[in-house]
Amino acid sequence: MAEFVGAFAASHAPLIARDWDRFPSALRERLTASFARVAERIVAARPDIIIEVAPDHWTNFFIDNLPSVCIGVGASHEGPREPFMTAFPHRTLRGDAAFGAHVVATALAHDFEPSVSHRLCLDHGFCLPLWKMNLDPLPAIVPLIINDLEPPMPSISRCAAWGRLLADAIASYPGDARIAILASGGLSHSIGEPTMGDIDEPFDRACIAAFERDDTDRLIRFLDAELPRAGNGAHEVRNWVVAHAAAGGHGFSLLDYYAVPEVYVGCAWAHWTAAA
Amino acid sequence: MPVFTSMMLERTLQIAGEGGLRIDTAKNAQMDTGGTSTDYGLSKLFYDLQAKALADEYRADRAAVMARYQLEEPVRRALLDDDMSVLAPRVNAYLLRYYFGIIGMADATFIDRIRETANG
Repeated sequence: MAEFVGAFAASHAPLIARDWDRFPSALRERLTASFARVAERIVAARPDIIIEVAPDHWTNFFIDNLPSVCIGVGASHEGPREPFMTAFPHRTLRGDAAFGAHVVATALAHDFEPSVSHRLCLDHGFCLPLWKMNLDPLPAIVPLIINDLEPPMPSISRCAAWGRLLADAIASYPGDARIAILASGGLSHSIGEPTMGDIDEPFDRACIAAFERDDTDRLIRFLDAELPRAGNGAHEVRNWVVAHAAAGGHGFSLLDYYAVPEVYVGCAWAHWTAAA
Repeated sequence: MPVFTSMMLERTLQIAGEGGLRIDTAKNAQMDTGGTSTDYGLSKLFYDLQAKALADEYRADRAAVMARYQLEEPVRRALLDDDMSVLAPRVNAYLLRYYFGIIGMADATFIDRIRETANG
């Protein structure tokens, strides 16, 4: 039987890749250490499969067909196409078709209707954390794309429901696999808006405190009220909500947080332990 | 062509009230773009320009590439003039930022210009 071995979160600011060589060495070292903290926990959890929850940054989808949720069921996925991601060592990432299909079947059985893709291109949202965590070997990746970029987006409560659904899918999977969840993105940032460059540290701190409280309903109310004011990039915290709910709404621990003006993002890294 | 108008939003909220459907009004209010709707042709141009070959062609001859897309005249003019005040309300903010990066505008300049746009 499959086993849930923990949930994790990491920011994925693309400028971490694009501008890496221009950063002061102290920032490079600090970012490296932050990603290493998550990597250390993931390696200790020994996952065979990572369900990675991230947005699609106009890579696979456009407004002619924009799913709220898409599950990648392919045996493999294409690596990132962005020019700043050419040094990412994986041009192809291994998927897990059987588990992906099981997640889709579980969803449909519970009246969720995700979009399904047999071949996704994983952009920096998926690949930047994997790159900077330097996981070797890389576990199989089952991508779960949440529309965090273009309204209308799935509600926060629906994202929590998706998290609980993933927990059910893991618990009911007959395969012998250790399965983790990695939420990619957030916290506050603003892209292409008049507030671009602003980082809302009070929002980020309050958001972290809301995850620490083990009260998912309160977390949902907080995000419903505050998320629209934290910059368009902050909507990626939906991915954290999926991870939080999959972990049962408790066990959150912040591994690191600091605003990084060089990449325009309040960067954060976190871990939810699997219930004993 | 508008993809989601204020009238549609009001009707959605009315249905929500009638049927008890839970709607996150704060979030969905983002779809009300203050009278300017998503411009499909412009969005498609920005999306397609992520491909290097097309971006190279666009940088060499904007008008030739623009001619392949359904663009209204004010939008066409705004593209030639780099007029952010016309373009920003019509496209997703990520696509807007990608576009100005593709045509060579530095982030710092983009931020200055988008802030000026907001300040009128």
